[in-house]
Amino acid sequence: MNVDIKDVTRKFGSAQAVAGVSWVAGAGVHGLLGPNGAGKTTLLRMMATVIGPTSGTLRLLDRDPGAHPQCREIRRRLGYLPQNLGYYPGFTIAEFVEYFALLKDMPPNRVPAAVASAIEQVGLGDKARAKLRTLSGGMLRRVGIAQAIVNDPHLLLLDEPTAGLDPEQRVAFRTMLREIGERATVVISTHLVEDVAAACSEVVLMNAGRLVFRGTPRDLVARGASVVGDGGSGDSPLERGYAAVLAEARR
Amino acid sequence: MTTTDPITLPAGPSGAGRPPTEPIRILLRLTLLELRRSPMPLMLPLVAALFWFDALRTGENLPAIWAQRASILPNHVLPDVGPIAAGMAAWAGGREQRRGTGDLATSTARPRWLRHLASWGGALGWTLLAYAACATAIYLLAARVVLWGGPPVWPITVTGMAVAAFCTTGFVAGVLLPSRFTPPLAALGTLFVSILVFQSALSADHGVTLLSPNNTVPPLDWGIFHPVPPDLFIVQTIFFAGLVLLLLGALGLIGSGHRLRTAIAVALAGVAACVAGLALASTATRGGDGYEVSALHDAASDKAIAYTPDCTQDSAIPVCVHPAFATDLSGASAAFAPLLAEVAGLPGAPTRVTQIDLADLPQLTDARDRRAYGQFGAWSTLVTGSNGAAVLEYGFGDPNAFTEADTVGYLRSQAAQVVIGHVIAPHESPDPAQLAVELALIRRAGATVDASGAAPDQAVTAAAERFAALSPAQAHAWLAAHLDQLRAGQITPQELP
Repeated sequence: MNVDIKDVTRKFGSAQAVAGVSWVAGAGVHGLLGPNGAGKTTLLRMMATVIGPTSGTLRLLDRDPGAHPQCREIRRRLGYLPQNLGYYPGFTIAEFVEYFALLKDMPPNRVPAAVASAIEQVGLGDKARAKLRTLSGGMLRRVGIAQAIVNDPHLLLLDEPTAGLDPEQRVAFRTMLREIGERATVVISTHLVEDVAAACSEVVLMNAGRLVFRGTPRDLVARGASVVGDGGSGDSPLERGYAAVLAEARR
Repeated sequence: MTTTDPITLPAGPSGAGRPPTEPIRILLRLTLLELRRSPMPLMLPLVAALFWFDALRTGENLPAIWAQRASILPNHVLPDVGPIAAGMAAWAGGREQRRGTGDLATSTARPRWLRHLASWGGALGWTLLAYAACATAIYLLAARVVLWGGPPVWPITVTGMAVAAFCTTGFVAGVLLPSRFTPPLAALGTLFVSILVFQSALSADHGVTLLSPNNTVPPLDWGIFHPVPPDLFIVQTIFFAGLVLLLLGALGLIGSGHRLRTAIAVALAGVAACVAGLALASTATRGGDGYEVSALHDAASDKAIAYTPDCTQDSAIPVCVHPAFATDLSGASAAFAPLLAEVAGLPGAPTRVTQIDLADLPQLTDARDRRAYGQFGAWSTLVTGSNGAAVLEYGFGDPNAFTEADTVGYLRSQAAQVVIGHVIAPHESPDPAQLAVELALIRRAGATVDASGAAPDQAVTAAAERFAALSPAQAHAWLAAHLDQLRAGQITPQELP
């Protein structure tokens, strides 16, 4: 499995951000849902090998991220878009994506074509030479996505990828995710259930550091439908399912 | 919506993968990106202004001697460029933290050290470019006025390495303390080092203080008659290169388990170079044309530099200067002319006046001369060549030796005492008549009479005044006719015309 998490916990001081999560994921697009502070970003940072777990085991792409040579192999095949994308304002879009392509250990002779392709995929081909300081928030988000996919990752981790994107861009983005999900494992952490409904083959819902639901979007819709009579909230069937699962978890 | 069964991608055995991709090529490409987008060019206007105000204007007022002009690099260009470079490098070093790209960068395959090396390379590239522009300007302006010799390379190397060390120090400070206060503190810290620590080392002039590049302020004739030994420059370069390696190695040791052995090796190499620099500097001794380090010194480099002196062509006794001081020829000729006119053609008079290395002049034993040497850095002596002909040798350490009245007067007086003494009473203390003639000739030569000894008696003074009142032709004719008798002590003061 590309993601194999067993009883993983992560503490920051006395606060437990992730509490005993176990999850196995293969290729496809996986939505990671949950309220603020549920532990989604911490789980994603562990999967991105930025931080290690406090306890439990984590295997990514059949490798142990705690061992240096294997961690490096994982990182070569990893794409990651953090929640808060830092960037260098003086770099152009192409330079920024190239910078991270090189850091991802791509062969230098393949980098120019990969950079051009990634920028084209996020619809910024005509702005490749624009400095990052001149871009809007939505465009910067697309630059972040471009750097995440530039190395054709086997494991793509996206934290709030659609924040700031307009509806047209979201549609294009979801299409792109579905294409990548056919050959790789894509994990999207998001608050927006419509992204999940449109793109994900699996939904994982977290609350208070724990994994409280795992299933298809259809399963989540079904959970919402079962509690409508009990006063479940939400504008869409998926939101009602989301609310129902959370309400049950908080009891 | 895509719904697929979970499938595992072929990932290969744990830990196995394709070999690392050309790290040097990746580092070079990253460094090029950093060079292109570095904030360092922002420092260039400030560097240019400081360089013009300080280094360039100071350099233009220095003597047109390569060693003198090259000393501008460590003494002025380093404090002009180094602190600004350190501040800007600290800004570049703190970029990842400041811009919040840490998570993103950490998730990549290449170690943190490589990112830092690329960023440091970008900062260093601009710093060295700014320094190279300053050094080029100094040397080009010097080349327009320097009359002899070639540009020295070692001051460029040492100062460049010191600038690199400043830049690296600032960068590492920025990485370790990524705060908005770090850049100004790095700039002020390195400014403090370059101005106070380095320059205060000038007064110590021994041991590890010689690692200060400012210690290379050269006397006027260093590198003119003999080459300046590169020993201390080599030691300083080793030390500053070691400092750069140590800092870079330490950067590799921080926060990354990758390339740990390489980082340790680099840091240890840096420590070794620093220790070697310290040890070698403590053995340095001052020689005639620079500092010598026995472990590095090549005796062959002490060989005098061949040159053809520039000499006056129209005088009975030619006056010569080293070609490096060719502009001083007329001044030297004017300084010695009145004296030479008095003794020309007499037995024992110098056949030539020539400039030599101050370090080659015999040691002074007279307290008055030493005091004068300290004041003007100039003195002269009469030597007898293998063919019996006397040569007046002189040297000076004062760049204005032939333009300042005090220095000219001193040179003339000192030369007058040794030349006239040699002509009138070459082998013993002068008798009263000889003393009277000496005093008269010294006065006629426009020189100052030595007043430190016992005052001559009235008869000598009166005879000296009579002889000094003669016309030059009368005095010269009398000496030509009576010099042998005068030297033999057969003439009394009363018998002098």
